Amino acid sequence: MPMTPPHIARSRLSDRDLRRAAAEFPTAFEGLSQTDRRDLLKVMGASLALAGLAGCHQDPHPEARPYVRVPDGIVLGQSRAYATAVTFGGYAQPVLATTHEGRPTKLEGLPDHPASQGATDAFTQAALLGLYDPGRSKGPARLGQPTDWAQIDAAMVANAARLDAVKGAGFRLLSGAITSPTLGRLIDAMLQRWPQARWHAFEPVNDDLRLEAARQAFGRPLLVRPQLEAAEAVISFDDDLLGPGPFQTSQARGWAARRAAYQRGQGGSELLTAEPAPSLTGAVSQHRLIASVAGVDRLVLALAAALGVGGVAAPALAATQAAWLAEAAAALRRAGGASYVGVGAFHDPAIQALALRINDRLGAIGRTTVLSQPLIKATPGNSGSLAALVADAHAGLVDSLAIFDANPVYAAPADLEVAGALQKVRLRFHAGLHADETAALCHWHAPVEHDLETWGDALAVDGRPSLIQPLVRPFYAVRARSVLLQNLQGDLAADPRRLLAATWTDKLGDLDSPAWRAAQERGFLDEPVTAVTAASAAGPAPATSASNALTVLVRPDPAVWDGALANNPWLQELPRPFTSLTWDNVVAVAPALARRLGLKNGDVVQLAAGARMLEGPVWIMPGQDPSTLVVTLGFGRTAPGLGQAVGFDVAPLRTVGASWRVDGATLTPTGRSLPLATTQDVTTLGDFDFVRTAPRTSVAPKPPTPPPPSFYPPKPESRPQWGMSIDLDVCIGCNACVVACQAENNVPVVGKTQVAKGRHMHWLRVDHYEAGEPDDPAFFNQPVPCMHCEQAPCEMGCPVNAAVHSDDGLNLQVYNRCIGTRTCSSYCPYKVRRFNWFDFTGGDPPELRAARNPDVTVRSRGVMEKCNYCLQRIVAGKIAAQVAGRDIADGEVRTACQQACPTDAIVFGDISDGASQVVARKAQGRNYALLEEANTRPRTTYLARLAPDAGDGDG
Amino acid sequence: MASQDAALDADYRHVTREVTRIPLAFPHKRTWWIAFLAALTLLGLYLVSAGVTFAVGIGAWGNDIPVNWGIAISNYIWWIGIGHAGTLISAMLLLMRQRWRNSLNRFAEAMTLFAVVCGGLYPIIHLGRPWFFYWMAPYPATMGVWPQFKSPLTWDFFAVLTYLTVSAMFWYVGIIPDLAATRDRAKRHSAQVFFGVLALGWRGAARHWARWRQAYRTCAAIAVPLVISVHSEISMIFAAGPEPGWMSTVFPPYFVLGAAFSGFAVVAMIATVTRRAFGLQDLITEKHLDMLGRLTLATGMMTAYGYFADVFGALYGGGRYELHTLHERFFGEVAWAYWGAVILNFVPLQLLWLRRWRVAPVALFLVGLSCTIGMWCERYMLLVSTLYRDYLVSSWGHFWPSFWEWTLFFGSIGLWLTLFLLFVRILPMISAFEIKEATFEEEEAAEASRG
Amino acid sequence: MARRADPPAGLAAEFADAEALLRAARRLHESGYRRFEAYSPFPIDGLAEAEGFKESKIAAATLVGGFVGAATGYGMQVYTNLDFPIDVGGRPLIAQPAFVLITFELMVLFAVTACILAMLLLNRLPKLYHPVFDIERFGLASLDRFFLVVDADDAKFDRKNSRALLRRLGAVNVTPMPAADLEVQAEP
Repeated sequence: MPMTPPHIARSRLSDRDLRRAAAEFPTAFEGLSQTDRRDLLKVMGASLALAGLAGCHQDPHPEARPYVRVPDGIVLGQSRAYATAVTFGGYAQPVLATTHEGRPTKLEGLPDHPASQGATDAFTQAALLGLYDPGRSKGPARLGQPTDWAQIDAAMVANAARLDAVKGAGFRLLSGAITSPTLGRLIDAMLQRWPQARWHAFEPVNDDLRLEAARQAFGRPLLVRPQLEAAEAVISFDDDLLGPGPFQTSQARGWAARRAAYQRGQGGSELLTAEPAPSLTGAVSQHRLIASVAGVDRLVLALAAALGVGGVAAPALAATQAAWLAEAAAALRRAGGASYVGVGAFHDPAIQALALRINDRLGAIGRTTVLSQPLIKATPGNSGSLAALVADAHAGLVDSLAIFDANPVYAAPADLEVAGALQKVRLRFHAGLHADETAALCHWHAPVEHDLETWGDALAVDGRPSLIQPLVRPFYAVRARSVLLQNLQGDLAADPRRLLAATWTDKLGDLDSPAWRAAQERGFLDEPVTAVTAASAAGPAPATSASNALTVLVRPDPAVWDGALANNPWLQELPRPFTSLTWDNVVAVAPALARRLGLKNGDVVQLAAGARMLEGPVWIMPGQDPSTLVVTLGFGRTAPGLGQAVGFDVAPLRTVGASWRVDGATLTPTGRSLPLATTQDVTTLGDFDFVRTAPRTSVAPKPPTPPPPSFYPPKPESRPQWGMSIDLDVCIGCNACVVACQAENNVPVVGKTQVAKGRHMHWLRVDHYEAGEPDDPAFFNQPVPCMHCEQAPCEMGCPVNAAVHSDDGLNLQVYNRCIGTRTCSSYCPYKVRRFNWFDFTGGDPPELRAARNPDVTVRSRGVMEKCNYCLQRIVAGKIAAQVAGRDIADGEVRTACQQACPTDAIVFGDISDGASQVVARKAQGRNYALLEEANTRPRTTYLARLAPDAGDGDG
Repeated sequence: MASQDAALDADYRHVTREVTRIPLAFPHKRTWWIAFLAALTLLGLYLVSAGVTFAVGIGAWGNDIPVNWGIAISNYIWWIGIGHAGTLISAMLLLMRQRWRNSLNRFAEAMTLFAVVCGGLYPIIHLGRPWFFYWMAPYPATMGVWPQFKSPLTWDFFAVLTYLTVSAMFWYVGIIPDLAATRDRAKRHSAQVFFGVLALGWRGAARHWARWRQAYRTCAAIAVPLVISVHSEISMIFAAGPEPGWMSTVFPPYFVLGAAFSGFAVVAMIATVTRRAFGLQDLITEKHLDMLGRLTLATGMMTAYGYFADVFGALYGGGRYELHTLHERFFGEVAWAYWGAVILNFVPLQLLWLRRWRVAPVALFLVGLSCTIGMWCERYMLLVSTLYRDYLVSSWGHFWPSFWEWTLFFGSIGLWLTLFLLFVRILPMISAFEIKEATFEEEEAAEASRG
Repeated sequence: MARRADPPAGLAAEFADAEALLRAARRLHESGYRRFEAYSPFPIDGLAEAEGFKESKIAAATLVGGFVGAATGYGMQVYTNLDFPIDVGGRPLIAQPAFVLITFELMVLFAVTACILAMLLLNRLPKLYHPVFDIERFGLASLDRFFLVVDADDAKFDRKNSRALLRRLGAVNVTPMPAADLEVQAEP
């Protein structure tokens, strides 16, 4: 084992000290050590910055680079936008990146990219912080000690020379999922140069089972992409079509487009879900059936039988299941080819294949179900699994190994014992953004460039190639992946831009060609992957297992995903859907099971499957199948960083065979319990009407009602008057808006301790409600920004005129006038205000300061803050309009949350402009104000969720 | 006649000596020092707690969103409330010519003054940026911004400042003649100078007395409505907001009565203690205890009515959120505070229906103590039960006061004790001349009846 | 101020009880004395009146103070709101109901201050030294003795007669004293 670098030791120390002190003097200490997490962050920031500078020959920091001579085309104080992309799970997420004085400060979706159409998910929003992550490795390391590139270059050159001699025998490349044509080209070249070498790929959350299913159905591995905008009936068998993942944005967009058409009365939009645990898709579906995984499998069979898919016999179903199935079948028959049946990516490929046959049978292939070659580059003959690598290593076949963007030591199922296998390899290189668990076991660690500071390319989920261009010179001594691939082959002269260009010369010509420039400006090439047609062959009817014991489902975490994002404070503190949990993962159990075992939230249980076991706190998840437990990846990291020791690692429970579904598990309470930090304690809606459901007819405009009587004088008529409308019918609770708001408005992260005390700072929160029977409730999401009440109680309460109203109807908070009486918050019926209980920002490491939006004040200790409808954007819009001498056009000013929203649930605009979209929305019959009875006259109003039409079954 | 005069003289002499001996030749100094050191320790705790809060921020407390006010505000209301009794006893009874007040008013007013100090400091300490507290005052600021005069907090700022100033002046004017008396009794030069200066050269001239009386009565007449206005305004901090359980028209009277109630309870406690400590049995007589008992009982029962009206209002209005808050008060996380208030305030209080208990110092003290704690519970309950679960289910939270909040609270009691102990140590704590006046006029009356 | 060298220019009579003092004061006034003053350890009803004291300046001062205070209070709130108009919760700029409370508070503050200042001013206080303090046993005036001091400047003053009169009125003893400005305002 390499010894831990000094800065790590330091951060650990500070962490331990705080914990000890806290243990000795708990109550008092909470105050003094705001939260050990933040301090950890701070210490790491500082120390790592030093460590980074040590090996850094370039500008230490964008902030430290003064504009003595302002470069051409840069106007100080004016932001610039670049079309580029950040990668997630190998796929490109096309973005429009905003930079201020050369610092990237915000990522938006690329408006004219067909896949995202300008929207983003939470991951993409948070990717910005990946660039500034204080935990990033900032220079090459040898055995964990900072070193310089010369040494590692020497090592690589020497190794390359050796490999040339033996045709690459004994050399292995292990990479994460790759869609990049350039990297693919370079790897191919490498394999040609070294025929004996082999390439393995390991992506913790991957499409393997989907591709296998396609192979079973169509005879070859194909990527199946649902086109939800065309699907009038969608049946999801535990297939979280709208849930987190690389495809979320495009699929959510598709579904929302269909939903919008449905609202306009064009065609149907039916969504039925059968799933063991609540998912974003299930939460918005008209009829959600709770079924164990085995139950889901049976339902797929039954549906296949009902639709006459060949060679399938209908299994016996319970009454509720039969009813659901009948509804589903009816819906599909109505929609015919305009329907989509999906089975979860983690399900038995045979069952998934059956779903594909159903789609084929329905005539959906090519309409709602587009088939294409996989976008993820496959290893030659799909032979390059991690398991194969491990086996070879044990067999002594691996002499040297280069690992790119993969962390198998942490993320691989325990039974692979990757760590042990690595020790068998003589020479180990690691290239990645972090010195992670795997890097710790490698001789050499080479830090790579973040997507925002590198040259590269990658395929978006629709196959369109995105060009990745650097928005800023790398802060640290890091290299592009493509360059490192060349270095491994002894080529030290490689230049990332030229490597990239070489890939595209035949399409775009050389670097100076207008075509190249145009492509770069646009950010992507409009070349969607060509759809292939394939007929499904009848396969053997899959067997369904009916296990009575508990089944553990392993899922990626909705925020930190597979753990690669565990160092991102925004994501760690992002309230997870349904639970609103932050800074922890849990063992989700059904209420019934909790009752049986007498468990309550936070009780630590031991989860065992055979000899494999882990311990973690339980969370009672309404609407979950009693025989199912759900755990999430991405926690229990051991590498130093923000994610270190947060939550528990689920790897010990997983095996190569059963990595997503562990049957026959047992649950035993330990009697201990852990404090969990959730941002919403109570989720039962009871008889309140905060969220509402309305019939489809209510989309029709209702006659305007006169405002209720008031003692106060009418508002002076001035334009514009800002307002917002949030459509609960399309909100899927994906949290993109929450992170977007945080990024736009410099909202600080406060850490678990403070979140647990109810001091989280999110300006925009997504409330989660469960209506009805807790064992099988209906789920609702409700984004809650400031309501900007016209008759705001908060303003009346403020003694120093810090909470005031603007002419254009904004409820403003004047930070530098606020003295922190907190009356405004006491008087706020919506409790959307946030208070700086400590100095939450002063201690931020320089990296995080650099990430801040310079157009937004950073709030100091003791002042109140809250959503201001992105005032800075409104002002920018006003100025632009005034310069051009015109009115602000509708949709010209968009709030950060609105811009990020993949379903257009949020619409913002001028309510005094009769033609504006927001006015049209608010005119609808289903428009309502939250807590109308308080008569605060909110400017933010909601559109009730639509109840399914009578014809579409009960719902 | 002569014998009577002699007796009368003896009486006057006795009264003054009784009163002035305490500052001039303090009895049982040892006990005082012990008490004073204890008070100083608490005061130290107060300073440390406030220091920590200033240093780290309000985060040092248990506050959160939604319960962003906590013990600080409920204590502020509690302290100021206690204070009101002093003014009421002193002013109202003076106007009603209730002679028996004379033995109580001096230290009751002192109690008021110090309680207002303790209470008034809280809103400053609780600020997010306490160093800017003066922004609540209307002064020509560089940005040209003024305070927001529609805010209940601004009303309070003025109310409390006015109250502090007025009660201080009222108290000082009332003590001048006795300062003169003490000056004349003083043997040590230092004492002579000290009291001489404080007495402003008072010499008891008939015309001075006449004007003094005019002024004193006028102030008293003004002080009574002032008290009512002040606590009505403090109730506005709650009542002006749209929060369930707060926006109730019953709050102003409810708060004022509760204030008087807790205040009388505290005065009763002080009376019994000082009476015992300084052997003032023949100045603070059974009659005084009896009267204090009656006042406490009366205001207590009125407060009880306030409780009833509050509940009735919620039930009668039938607002969903009002009812919910009511339910929270009865059965929620702070139910202990609600029932604590109900029981401690009104159960032992019932003893005071019987004269036997009213005139029994120990009993009176214990009842007073119970009511004081009970009223603390009430202030706490009113604040927390509304905030921690108001409208949106999603924002429901909790509140547990932190270590530093508690220390600050006990520390503030230390602040009060320190001031009060200093007062009894160096100033005449009972109004000697007014007692003499009373005795004289009683004699007059007696003679008149003898014809 | 007293000049020790001068021949005694006044008389100080000590009385044993309040009734005697009251009687004496009344008689002196009846017999035309004006520049004299009585001293007692506690306020005695009618004593000042017996000396012909009639005055309601304090009440007037209080009233004025009150008016000024109320005007200031209300004026301040109106002015500040007009000086920097801000929309606060949609409330009217000039919200009379909201302004009442501070108006009242300032009224009280000014009234009480005016009242007490008037009292001190009219009483010429503070005044740490006064000739009457030189009177032997005057210290008892704050305990249980009652004094009556006649100023030599009084028109009716005659050392022998006055002393006899005071004796007749029941003074326990009468001592000469230096001229004292008794601060007795001349009456109409």
